[in-house]
Amino acid sequence: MNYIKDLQEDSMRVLIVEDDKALADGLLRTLKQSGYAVDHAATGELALRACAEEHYDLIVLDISLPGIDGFEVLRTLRKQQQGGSILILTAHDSEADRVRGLDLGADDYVSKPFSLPELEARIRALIRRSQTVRSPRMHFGSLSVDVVGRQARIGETDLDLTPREWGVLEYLMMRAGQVVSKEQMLQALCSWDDSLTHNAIEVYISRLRNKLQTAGIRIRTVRGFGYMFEDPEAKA
Amino acid sequence: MDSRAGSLPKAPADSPHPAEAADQDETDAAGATRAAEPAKAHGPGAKAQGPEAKTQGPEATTHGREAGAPAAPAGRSGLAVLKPSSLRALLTGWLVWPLATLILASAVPTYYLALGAANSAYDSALLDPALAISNHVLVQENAVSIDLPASALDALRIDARDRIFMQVRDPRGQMAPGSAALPAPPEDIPEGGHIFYESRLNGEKIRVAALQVPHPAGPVLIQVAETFVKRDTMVREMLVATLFSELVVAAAAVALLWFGIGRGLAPLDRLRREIAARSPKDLRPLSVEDKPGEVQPMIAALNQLLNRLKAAIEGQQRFIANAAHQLRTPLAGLKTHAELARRQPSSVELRPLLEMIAGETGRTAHLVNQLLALARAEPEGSADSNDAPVNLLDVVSRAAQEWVPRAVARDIDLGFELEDAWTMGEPMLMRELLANLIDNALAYTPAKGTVTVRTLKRGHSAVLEVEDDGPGIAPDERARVFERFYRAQGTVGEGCGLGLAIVSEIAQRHGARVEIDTPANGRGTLVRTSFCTVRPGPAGQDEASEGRSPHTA
Repeated sequence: MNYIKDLQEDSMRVLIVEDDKALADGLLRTLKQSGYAVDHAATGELALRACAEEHYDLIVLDISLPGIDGFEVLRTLRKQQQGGSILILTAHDSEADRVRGLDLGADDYVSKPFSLPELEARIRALIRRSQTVRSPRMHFGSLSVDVVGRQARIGETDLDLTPREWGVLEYLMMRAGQVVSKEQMLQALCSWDDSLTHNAIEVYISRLRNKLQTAGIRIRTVRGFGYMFEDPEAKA
Repeated sequence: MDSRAGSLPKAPADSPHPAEAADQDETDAAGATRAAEPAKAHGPGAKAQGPEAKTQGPEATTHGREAGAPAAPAGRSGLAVLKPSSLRALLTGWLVWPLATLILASAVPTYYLALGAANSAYDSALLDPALAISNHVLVQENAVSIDLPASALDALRIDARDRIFMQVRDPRGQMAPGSAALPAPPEDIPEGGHIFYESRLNGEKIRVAALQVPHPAGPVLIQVAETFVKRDTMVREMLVATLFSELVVAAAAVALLWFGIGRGLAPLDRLRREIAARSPKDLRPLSVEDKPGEVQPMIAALNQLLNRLKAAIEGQQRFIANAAHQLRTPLAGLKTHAELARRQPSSVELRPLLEMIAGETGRTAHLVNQLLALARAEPEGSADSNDAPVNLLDVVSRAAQEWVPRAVARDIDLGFELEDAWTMGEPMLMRELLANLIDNALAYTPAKGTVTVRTLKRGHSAVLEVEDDGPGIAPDERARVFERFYRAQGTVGEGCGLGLAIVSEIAQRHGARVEIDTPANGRGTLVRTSFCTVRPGPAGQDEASEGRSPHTA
């Protein structure tokens, strides 16, 4: 018995560790349609073998596996400094399991049965994060951003952003499709400007909205809470 | 305790009609079995039990009435009424009746003792006049007489309370003048001796002292008798005094016993309070210390029962966890495939079918989640308490992540007005409660609508409010929407009717109050959950939340 390897090269590589055939098949199809190279391992042992041979940008990991369970796989991978993101996908949704998974170094935790669009959004966010490690260029529709060179373009036009606007954009962009609270933004951004206030954030957001308008990017206000940088790739 | 216990239904065994009691016993047992059935069915079948669980309510009530029934016939019989069913009354009763009987019975020997005492006290006084006369008896040829002046004789007859009779008789049987006709002594009197005896004179009881005086002409019999007035008085007084002191002692003993038993039973009452004060989840063994030795075996048996119960609940917990896994994984696969199929280009005929499969699969998955949540929310659902200080603000902040995208997908404006609001709770159940409130609000709010989640501190309450501007819930339906599987009139959403039941279950478990209100603008629904507020536990948490507090913007 071996894990199933996708021969497609040059794509983001995802490993699905799931012993339920039907679910694994559904996930394989979904992620392949999204353009990823997807491998499948049905047991913990096979998952570890696959990780020894390949680098994965993302591992979708079930917890209840025959033999070595998901927590053990997670622990081993993190000990080996395996760099990719790990998303736990499990039927156990107790708070203790969730905390344990995240403590062991998982990046996200989704419980079954999940909504496919939600899972896809989370996978996109995780892939994007690990993507910036390999190649610093991110794309959102016609917006392309070079995170290291701090350059953003809409189509062929360079965007002119102040350092503060850049900081806010980067923070939101890295969490596209997710809700971020103003508090989180303030805490993350105040390292370079201690005088940042709620009102200032609102000002930067409004400026960013104007500048990104032509790229069809939408920064949604979550009333009384914060913002959500809408992921243009998300399917309705 | 005792007076209340006394009014409790009598055990069927107390019934004066054994056959009837047995009948009731049977009915009782049957009722118990019936009531136990749905509870048993809760085991493996567990989750899909909403309606059954609901019918359990009235049935349990019926059973309660059956159990109370045997009290009536037992109560009607006078004997049974006297039968104490409180331990204290029982023990006191066992003391009171024998004690009363003993005291009454002791009156008989006391009477004779008193009589003996009275006789020995007064008899010598009765003999004195006889002795006084004996020196003055004159026996002549034809007559016998007493050589004393009449006044002296009268003086001898004087007594404050009794009448005194005298008789002097010579050997020939002749009486001295002034002699009364006293009955002859019942036995022979030795020469020069005397005897005392009781007799009757004209129907009146008398005590007689008879003295035989030797005389040259033969023995002379001198009899002095008196009525029983002062002797009876003395006997009566002695009897009353003795009985009275005995009664006082007995009453004191009964009173001491009564209070003593009360004191002795106090540990039982403590035990009752200890059990009553427990949270429904607390299945720890009861402490045996500071309980009297007689109660310890009972506590040990109770602890065994608690352990078995705990084991059964843990078994059920494991079963729920397994069922969750077994159901959720295939459902996740089914859901994924349904969604994938829906995304494929398809014919006009196939399209609605695929949509329906995707929709139904989603609803089934939702229902499974809800049922598991409900099982977990029930007090017996989790054996261990994970209660910790929880800031409602944090619970909502975390949930925002999950719910805003869903609200966006439904084109509903989901907003927040958050303040710190600390309470004690189980974080996962709190999340479940909030999820169900938001889910409900989103489900029943039309597109372009507004849903607002609010946390605040009001007096001693940590309040969580979820408000929508949907169609609202009619006031007469507000109580019913918390019932399992109930769906408000005219609702068209996807809900399975468990959301608010879960909310109510979790709230109950946290001692929180849930109420449905109309928002300030007069339109829609506002569900308000009020928890008891607590001071934030660890200082660090406090500061952290203070730092983040101005969430309201």
